[in-house]
Amino acid sequence: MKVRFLSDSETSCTAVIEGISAPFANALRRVIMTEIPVYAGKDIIIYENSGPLFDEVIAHRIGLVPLTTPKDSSEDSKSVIISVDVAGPSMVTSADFVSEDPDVVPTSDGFPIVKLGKGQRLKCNIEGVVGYGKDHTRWQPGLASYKNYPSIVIDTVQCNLCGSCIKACPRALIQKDGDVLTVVDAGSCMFCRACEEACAQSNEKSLISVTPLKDVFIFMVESYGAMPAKDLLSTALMVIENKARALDQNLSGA
Amino acid sequence: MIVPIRCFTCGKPIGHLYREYCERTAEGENSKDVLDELGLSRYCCRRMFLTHVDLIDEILEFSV
Repeated sequence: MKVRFLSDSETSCTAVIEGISAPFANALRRVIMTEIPVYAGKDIIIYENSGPLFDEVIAHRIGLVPLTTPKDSSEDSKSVIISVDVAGPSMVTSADFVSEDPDVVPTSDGFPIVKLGKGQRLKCNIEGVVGYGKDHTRWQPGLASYKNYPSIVIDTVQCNLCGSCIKACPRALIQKDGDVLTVVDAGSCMFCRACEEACAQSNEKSLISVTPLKDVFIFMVESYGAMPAKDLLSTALMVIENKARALDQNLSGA
Repeated sequence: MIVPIRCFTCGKPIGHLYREYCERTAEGENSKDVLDELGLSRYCCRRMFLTHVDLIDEILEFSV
C-alpha cells in the first residue's frame, strides 16, 4: 500500500492511495461523513428572545454552527455549556458564544445567528453534545470523496502525431513532447474519453486507451473545522478498527 | 431572510463568509473571483450566495 499526498492543509487534503479496494475506500468515505464523533449544539434553552426570528429558527441556526472538537472526544465526553447574552441593536454572531470549555468553541467568530433591533435581546444557553453525522448534519465534520486514478496508455509506435486527441481533451492533459505524446497531470482526467473518440475518428481504431485503475484512488477530504482534514482520515480509520474489534469480541464470545 | 449557516446540499459552513462576499462585491469585484477566493468551489455552495436575498432588516422592527 502506498500513499502520496497531493495537497495537505488544515481544511482539505488530497491523497493518491494505492492498494485499497473500492469497498474499503467507500467505507472510509462514509465513516468520515457520518461516524466521527464531534461537538455541536444540541439542546438550547432560550430565556429571552425578543428578536425578529422565532425560537426554533434560532435554535436551528445555533445548532448548525460547527464547534472545534478535542482529539480524543467520544460519545461519552461530557457536554459543554455555551452561553449567549446579547442586547440589540446588534448582529448576534458566534463571537458572542461564551464557552465553559476553551477547547469547544465555534470554528469561526463570524457566523451570523440573528440581527437584533433596538430594545431586543437574546439570552440562551447551548448544550454542546458529541454526536454523529448520521443523526444530523450539525455533527457532519467534513466531506470525503474519491475517484479511480486513470491509466492513459498511448500506442506511441502506431501514433502518427495527428494531434486530434490534444485538441479533443477538455482539460488539455495530452501534450506533444518532441515526437511523442505525453500525459501531464493524469489525476485531473475525468474519463470523458473524448481523446479515444477523436483518435478513433482520425485513425482506423483508437490508439489511446483510458481505463480506471481498480486499486488506485484519488481520495479527497474536506474538513469543516472541527479537526484538521488529515485527522479526519486517521479518526475514521480508528472508528473502523474499533467496529471490527467489537465484532471480533462478539464472535469469540458467541 | 438571513444567510444560512451551512450549504443546504453539502453541509459546508458558509455563513461566516457572507459579510466579506457582500463587502467585496459591493466594491465592484467580480462575484466569481470572490467565490473562488472564499473557497466555495462547488456549485451548491456558490448558489447559496448568488441567490440569497437578505431580508432581515425588513423584519427587524417586529418582535416575536
